Parts: sequence; C-alpha cells; structure tokens
Amino acid sequence: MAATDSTAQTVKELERYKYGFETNIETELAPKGLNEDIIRFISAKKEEPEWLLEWRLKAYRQWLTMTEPTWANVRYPAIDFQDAHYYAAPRQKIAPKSLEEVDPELLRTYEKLGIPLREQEALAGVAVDAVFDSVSVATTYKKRLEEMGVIFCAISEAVKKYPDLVRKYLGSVVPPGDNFYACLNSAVFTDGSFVYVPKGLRCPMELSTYFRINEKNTGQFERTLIVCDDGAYVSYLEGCTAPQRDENQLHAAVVELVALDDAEIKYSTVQNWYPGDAEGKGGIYNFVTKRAACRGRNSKVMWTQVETGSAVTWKYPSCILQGENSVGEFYSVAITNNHQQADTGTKMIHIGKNTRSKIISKGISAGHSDQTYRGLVRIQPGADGARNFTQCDSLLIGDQCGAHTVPYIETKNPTARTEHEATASRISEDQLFYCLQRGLNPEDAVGLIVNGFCKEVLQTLPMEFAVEAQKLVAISLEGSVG
Amino acid sequence: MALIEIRNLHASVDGKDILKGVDLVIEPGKVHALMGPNGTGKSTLSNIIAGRDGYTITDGDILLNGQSLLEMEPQDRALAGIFLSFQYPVEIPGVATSTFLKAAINARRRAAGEGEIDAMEFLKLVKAKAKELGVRDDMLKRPVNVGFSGGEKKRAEVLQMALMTPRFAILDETDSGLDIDALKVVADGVNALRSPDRSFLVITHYQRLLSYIVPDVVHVFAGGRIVRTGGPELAEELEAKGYADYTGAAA
Amino acid sequence: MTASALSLVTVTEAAQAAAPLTDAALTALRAEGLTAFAAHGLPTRTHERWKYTRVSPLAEVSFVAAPTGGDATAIQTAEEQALNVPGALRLVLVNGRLRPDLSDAAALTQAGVSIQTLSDAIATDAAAVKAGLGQALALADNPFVALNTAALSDGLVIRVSATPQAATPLHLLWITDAAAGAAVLVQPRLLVEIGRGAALTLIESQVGATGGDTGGDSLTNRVSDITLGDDARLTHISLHNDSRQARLLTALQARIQRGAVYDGFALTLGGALVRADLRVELLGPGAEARLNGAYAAGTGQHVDTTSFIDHAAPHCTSAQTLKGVLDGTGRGVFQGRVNVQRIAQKTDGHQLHKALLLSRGAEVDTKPELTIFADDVKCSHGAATGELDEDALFYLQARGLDPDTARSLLIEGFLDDVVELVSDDALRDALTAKIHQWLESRS
Repeated sequence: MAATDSTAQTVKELERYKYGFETNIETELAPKGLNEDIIRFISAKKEEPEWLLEWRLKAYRQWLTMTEPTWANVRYPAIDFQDAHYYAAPRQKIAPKSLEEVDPELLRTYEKLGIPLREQEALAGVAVDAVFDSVSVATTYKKRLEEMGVIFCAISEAVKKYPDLVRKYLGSVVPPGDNFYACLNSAVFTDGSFVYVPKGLRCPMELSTYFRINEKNTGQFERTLIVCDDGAYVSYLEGCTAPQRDENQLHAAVVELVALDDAEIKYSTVQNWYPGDAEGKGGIYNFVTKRAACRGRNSKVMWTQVETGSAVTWKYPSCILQGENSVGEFYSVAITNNHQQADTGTKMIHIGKNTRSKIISKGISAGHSDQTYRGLVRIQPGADGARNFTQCDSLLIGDQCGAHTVPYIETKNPTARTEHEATASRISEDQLFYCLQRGLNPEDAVGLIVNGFCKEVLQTLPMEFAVEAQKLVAISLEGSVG
Repeated sequence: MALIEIRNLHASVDGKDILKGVDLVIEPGKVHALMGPNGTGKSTLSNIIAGRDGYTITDGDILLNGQSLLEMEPQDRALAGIFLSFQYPVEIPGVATSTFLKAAINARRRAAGEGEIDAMEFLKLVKAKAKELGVRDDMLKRPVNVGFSGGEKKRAEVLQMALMTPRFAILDETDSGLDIDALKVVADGVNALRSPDRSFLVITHYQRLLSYIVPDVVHVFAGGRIVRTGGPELAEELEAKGYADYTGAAA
Repeated sequence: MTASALSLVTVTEAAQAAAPLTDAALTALRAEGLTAFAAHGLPTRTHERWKYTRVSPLAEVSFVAAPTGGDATAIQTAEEQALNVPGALRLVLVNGRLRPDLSDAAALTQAGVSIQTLSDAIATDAAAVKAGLGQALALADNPFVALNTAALSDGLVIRVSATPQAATPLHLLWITDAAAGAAVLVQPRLLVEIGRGAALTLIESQVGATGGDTGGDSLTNRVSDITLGDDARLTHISLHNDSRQARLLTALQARIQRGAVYDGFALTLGGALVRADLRVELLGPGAEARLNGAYAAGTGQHVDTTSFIDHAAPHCTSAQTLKGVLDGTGRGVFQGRVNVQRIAQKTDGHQLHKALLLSRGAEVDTKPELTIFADDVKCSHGAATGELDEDALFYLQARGLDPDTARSLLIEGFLDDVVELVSDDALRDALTAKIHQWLESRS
C-alpha cells in the first residue's frame, strides 16, 4: 500500500493555495528602488511629523552599514533591494471615513479571503484592520472600541492622533538597529496596526489584522505596536496571504509588544503567505522580527503561530521577561512542504525574578522542505527562581526533507531550572495503519494524526480561528502522502 | 457463497516464511475461533487480511464475497466490511476518540454516497453504543487509546466495531488483559452484533473467551497453517491438554 | 594570521625543526597544518563551535617546548591523580613522549597488540601512519588539530588485531610535567586502530606531575584518531584530572565501521580549561557509539564538551549522556550535534545533558542539536539545568545528616547515575573513586 513510502515524490501542483488570486485595482506606486528620497516620499505620503522622518532616515543610514544575516539554515538568491517598490497603495480619491466609502473592489477582495469587513457580516466579537499592500484600508468596530478606550487603528493614523504614545513605545522593544531586516523595516515601514488597551480593561473583542500583499514587485513592511497598560488584556490575531506569483516577494515586518504590570497579551498568527509552487518557484520571503517586552510585574505574553506559508521563513517571536513573575509562552506549529524553508523559534530572556517561560514547538517537514527550530533560553544572574520548559517535536513525512533542532540554553543562576526535550520521528506506521483499517484514506489519516500532533498548540488559538487552522494544517500537507 | 475464503495463503516477512498454506472458509453468520500457541502467525494472518504493509504474499488468495482483497488498500478493505480489533490498539495523541469515530463513520458514509453524519445524530448514536459497552463519556473526549487501561482499550475496539457495522470482524486476542467482568461486557457486545450476514474470526490463546462467545467452528493454528478443525468441544480439549502436541508438529 | 598566536606557531616550528621527518608526504602534511593554523589563527566566539569557550587568552601566553621531565616524585604525584585500574597494563607518557622505563614492559609485548611511538611507526611505515591520521576533522575548520598536525612527532600508535584471547586493558598515563614559571606546549598524537573483530579496553588518565593546585602553566593539545574495523569494539575510558593551571584541548575522531561498537566515557575533574572535541562517524550498518561522561568544574575551571555524531549509514545507534556539576565560578559547556544523513534510515540517536549549579557565579551553556535528513528515525535530545533538590536535602537532614554531607551525597548520586552506564565493574569503581576524591577535596 505504500502510504508513506512513496510520499512527497509525486507532489502535484499546488491547487491548495486558494488565496492566489490578484485584485485589479488602480495602484499608486513609489518609483522602484530605495534611497533617502523614497523614504521622504513615504513619510510625506503618510503626512508624518518631522521626528518620524528623522527616525526613518537614521535607520536607513544605519541599514546601509549592515549586512544580511547568514546564520540561519535557509538558502535563497541574493535579494536586490533596489528592484522593488517600497510604497504601493490602492488609489483612493479621499481617505475613506467609513466602510461605506471603501472601494467595493477592496471589500470584495477581503470577502473572497473570508474576511468580510462590513460589520453586519463580520465575525461577531472580532475587530479587523485590513492592510492592503502598504496601507490600512479599513478597520471595523473602531467606534465601539473607542468608546471603551481601546485604540485600534492603522499605525500611520496613530502617529497623527496619538503621537505621544507612538513616540514613547515605537522602537522601544525592537530598536531600529536590532538586525538587518528590522532596520530596513524601520526605514521604510508603511502601515500596520497600533493597539493600546488602557489600564484595567480586558478588551472584550478579538483584534485582528489581515495583511494582504497584492501588487507585483513590492515588499510589505508593516509595523505593529501593541501596548497593554497595567492590568489590561488583549487577544490579537494576524493573518496573511498573497497572490500566486513566479517572483519572490519580501515581507519584513516588525512587531513590538509591551505588557505593563499585570497586563496580558495573546498574539496569534496564522501565516499563509504564498509558499511558491511545487518546484519552489515564487513565494514570499518572510523575514520578521517579533518581540515582546514583559516590563511589568506579573505580565504575560503568549505567542501562538501557525506557519504554513512563505517560501522562506526567518522568524523568532521572543519575550524579554523583565518584570518579576512575568510569563512568556511560545506555541508554534510550522509546516513546510515542497521546497519551503523555515528557520523559526523563539528567544526567552529571563531577567526578573521568578520569571517563567514555556516553549512548545511542533514542526512538520514534508516534500523537499527543510525546517529548523532555533531557540534561545537565557537565564540572567538576577533571575532567581526562573523556570523554563521547552518541548520541540519534529515530524518528517517522506525521505527528502530535513528537520533540525538547534536550541541554546544559557543558565547563569543556580536557582533557575530549565528543561528541554526534543524528538524527531516520522508518522508512526502503526497509527497510520490503524486509521486506514477504520476506513480513513491516507490523506485524511495524516491530517488527523498531524492535527493530533499539533493539538497542544492549536488549542491555544482563539476559538474562531482554531477550526480554520486545523483545516489549514491538513491542506498544507496535501500531496505529501503517496 | 462463503463470506470469507482464504486459499492456500503463503506469506513471508523479510524473507522468513510465516504463513505456510492457510485454508479457511467462513460462511455468513458464523463465528470461527482460531486458537494456537504464541508466535505461530495468528496475528500475521489478521494483519494480512486487513492489508497491512510489510508482508510478502508468496502464494494464495483472500476473497471477500468472492472478490480478491489482495490488491486492495487497507482503507478500501475496511470500507468493504473488514474490521480488525487490534491486539495492541495504538495510541494517537491529540486526536479525540469522538473526532476519530466521526471521521471513520463519515468515511463509510462518503463511500456509500451519503452526506456527513449530523452532529446530534452522531452524538446520540455513539453515546448509546458506548453505554451498552460500558465506555464512559470522558473516554470519548480523550485522545484515541491514550491513557486507556488494557480493558478500556479493548472495550473501545468493540465500540468501534459496533459503530462500523462490518461484514467480517477479526478479534485479535481481544481477551488478553481483560478481567472477568470486562470479558463479559466485551463478549456481550460481540454477541449483540452476531447476525446472519456477519461473520467473526476470534483469535485467542485461551478457551476462556469462547465460553462467552460460543464459536461454530474451532481451528488449531500452528506452524503457519491450520492443523486441525472441529466444533466448540475442540476448544475445551485444548484447554485441558495445552498445545504441546502442536508445537512439536509445527517445528 | 592573528599575530597573537605567534608563540604557538614559533614553538611548533621549533618542534618541526627538532624532529624532522624523512617522509615527504608527512612533511607536507605538517606544513599544511601549520599553514592552516596560521591562516585562521585562534578561533573566536564568532565561530559557532567556539561560541561558549574563549581561547583568545592563549595568545597572551609565551609557550616553550616541553622538557623531558618525569622524575620519581613527579611520577608518584601523577599516579595519585590517575585512575586506579588494577590489572591494566600501564604506559607512561611524560609531556607526550613514551617512557618505556616507567611503563609495564608486558604492555609492549602483548599478542595481537602492536604499540609503537609515533616516530617509530613513521619510520616503519609512514604511509600507514598517514592513512590512519583522521581525515574527518578538516584542518581549516579545526585550528588546534591543524596545529597538532603541524607538530606531528610525539605520541603513540596502537594497533590491535583479533586474537583468541582478549587483550589486557591498556592504561595510558599522560603526564604533564611543567616547571613553575614556564608555560609548556605539549602536542601528542594518538592513533588507535582496532582491526576487524578485535577488541580493546583503553584507559587514559591525563594528569599533572605536580598535582592539584600547584604546577606551571601548560597547554596540552592532544589529538586521537581512532579507527574501528567491522565488528571491532573499543571501550574507552578517559580521565581529565590535570592540575588547576593546565589547559587541555583534546580532539577525538573516531571512524566506526559495520557492526563495530565505540563505548566511551570521559570524566573531567581537573584543569583550568578542558575542551573535548568529539567527532564520531558511524560508517556501516549496525555501528554503535556511546559517548557518556561526567564533569565537575569549580572556580576558575571551564569544561567544554563539543561533539558531532554523524550517522552516515542505516541501522546505527548513538547514545550520549553527560552530567555536570558547576561550583564556584565554574562554567560548563555542552554542544552536541547528532546528524542523520539521508541514507541513514532506522537511526536511533539519543542525547541528554544535565547540569547541577551549586552556586551563584556558576554558569552552564547547552546547545544540543539535531540535524535530520532521513525520516525513519528515532532521535531525541534532552537538557536540564537546576540546583540540588531542596526536598531531598531536607529529607536527608531530617535523617540526621549535616548539610554538607547531605549535599555531597546528592551530588555523588547525581553523577553516579551516569557512571552506572559503564558496564565493567573495575572501571566503574575506578571512576567512582575519583568522583569521591573530588567531593572530599571540595568540602
């Protein structure tokens, strides 16, 4: 029957990527290339204050002195940073004041993606910020949130309306010079979401940003900043898709989270950028810097990521655990198929006393893909009583893929305790046969077993998205079982 | 016509002959018992009927209703009505038993051209059957076989059998690891499923189970084939005398 | 070249001049080693494999060639530091050179076991020596192997062939004899070739002639090339127990053929800097490697085990369990990589590192790594760090033990656990005795 034997070798063209369509809409583009004038152009388009332009230019000048990191276990041709548009926006006569004024073509695009923006059709309890190429085109439930004191808007809007908040926190977790891609982002970021939850408020709605790359030859450089004040709570989810194209496109985002005393942020990602075709042509380069500062006592940040898309992923959502008793958690499912490459993991930096972290990573490699878990757990001398638990499991489907685990565990405090476990194996023949004997076909059986393997991570997703994520897990592995 | 017919079946694993000419005919509605010493190929036979990979069939055939099974994938055999109650049911972490049962039921419905089962209907069906077999509700929420005791695993197997309504069921050492109370529950479950168009092959080492599931025919299996066939009294004879006569013959 | 490594190069060049080789190929290899070292200099922390171990201070040391050394008191002191394995035949090497006068004569005359000094072996058959020098560690990527290769002349060649009677265990006593005030550089090479179906138990003790806390500065840069033929077996027990000032860099490259078993255990107790680079290649089906060990590092000590286990054939097994105790400002490093090549289906590879931190200022850095290119494998690694179990301590105190004794008992238990993996009673006892000695000296 050879259900796993001939796996992955006869992988068919990906019909699975149902988000590969393109929206025909008139677009305003910056000229190709990157220089100080382009940055001035972006800043002017956004009507930004002088300080932000200076901030960008300073980052750009620093970026010029930096080199691309090469330590990750990913390979791709050199990127020509001059061969892309750094600003692309759907042409709209005037900035839409309400959803009624948004170009219907854009609304239709998001509907096709399964994200209705008209509030009467939208998922109840989920507010959405829709980012199309370089700009935010719509934010739902804005008014309701405002009434509660929650700020949820495009970051460009926040720069104008809440300059003090933005200025205080922007770059405070990921400084512009942090790394090559974060630095590039700092120079050219166009849009993204800004969230501020005031003291003591548990935000009753899920906040969600939906990122869409549409235009050819553009990169997307969004910047997200979430601040949870003392005792506040927010659950935030981002989703991403892009059209199916033969060229590679760059996505270099920066996400900064700040949690003050007793604050909690739950940040979930379902990343489904176009992964390229079965031969590895096209797809998004996903080079993202995500970091949370648990500044306050008893603060908590939980990252959940379901990574199924992108041709190349380079991403390490991290937590800096400064506040006493602060908690960082990282739950990840990464699936690579065909020729995808992913080097992803997390960093947990324990600084404060009694800080705790938990890392659960489930990697599934199929086809000719290569996947690496790379993680750092660092216990600083002052982190008395710190605790870390890490579990990394890899599943290999087919004999042409790779699965790698590279954890770094650095302990400088005797009262801290760290535990790390990693396993790698293939889907058990016994499990597969058991399912087949009950009448399941091999693809459903693998989907079921893999979903079971990922359960611990998937169940941390907000309920509205957990079901979608389970389907995505099964779809991403289509064609990997013979 | 026989429901299941095994003709001169020879099979090997890694070049080692395990089955050496198995002949077996089971009529619809009959329960056959297959008894014999350990390590003589009884589980191999059940795995081969269910279509497990890793065995080489060197001669012979297996027919279900006159159709050969040998070229069929395991899932197609299952959908055609073959059910194997595993000697060692495997654990599938993270997959809730109820999710698994639903997937298996829907696979059958899809094959029959029917729509997926309604969630309420499914729940009603499963809960009713589970109750009969003493399978607690919380077991349905737990991952497939994970953390189940030996007895719970076997009950869960019989529950699956009841839900899959097979034509031909193989019970591979279903009695192993069961205390007497659990044995009765499992046997009652099997007996409830006996019907004129459904047949069973009960593989066991001991006569004990056969006091509760009374077979029509008993076979002695040794050295990779059936060496003797008789009625239920044969099981009692084996219980009294053991397999010494056959282990010698097999070697 | 980094000018800073000049002293190491100068002393190595002098060693070359003092012991010229007649064989052209080996002379060229020496030159290659020197060129490679000179080109890359000392590794820095940007080299992933040296991320946690700084060797740049070596640049500040003025090294001299090692003296002959080895007077009677030196030998006696060294013996006290070494493993005590009754029945093993002893070979003594002072500053890398074999001292037949101090060794068991029987060691050199065992049936099936050929032992030669490296220079004798080169004189006998230079080509055979060259073939045995591991090609596994590329000189360009392994500066200290390159430096050792450049100095090629001191050391030992052990070849074992299958005989009806098992060979008596061999015990190599590597003695560093450094006079106070001078920093000696010792660069021996050990070649071990176990022929098809043959077996050997090899014990090594790296010790200082002055013992414990005294003794001069030294750098021992020792490389071992081990080849195991089909179905061969090597039980390899190493003790690193040099004086507090000693620096020890060892590199071991083992090539293991079909059905052969390498069973290694290393215990590290003494030395300022001890770095063990282990590279094991499983080259034929059924080959097996065990790389277990234990270490203790107190104030001023840095112990680093960096291993690379390469599964290059199907059906191979590797297992590595390492346990460390860090006291004072001691620092432990474990970097272990298990690589499973695409061809290596049915691999079984497991790795575990556990460290106990006894004090503030102690540090442990762990990087276990799995790189897997075959799917039908069972691989795992685990790592844990923590302090002594408070509940256990309290329990022992409640039974009347004083806190120090209780702590010692728990530490010993922690380490004993891994020593248990050594199956031979005499060897296990010898290791346990050393651990006990270390614990006594601690309190």
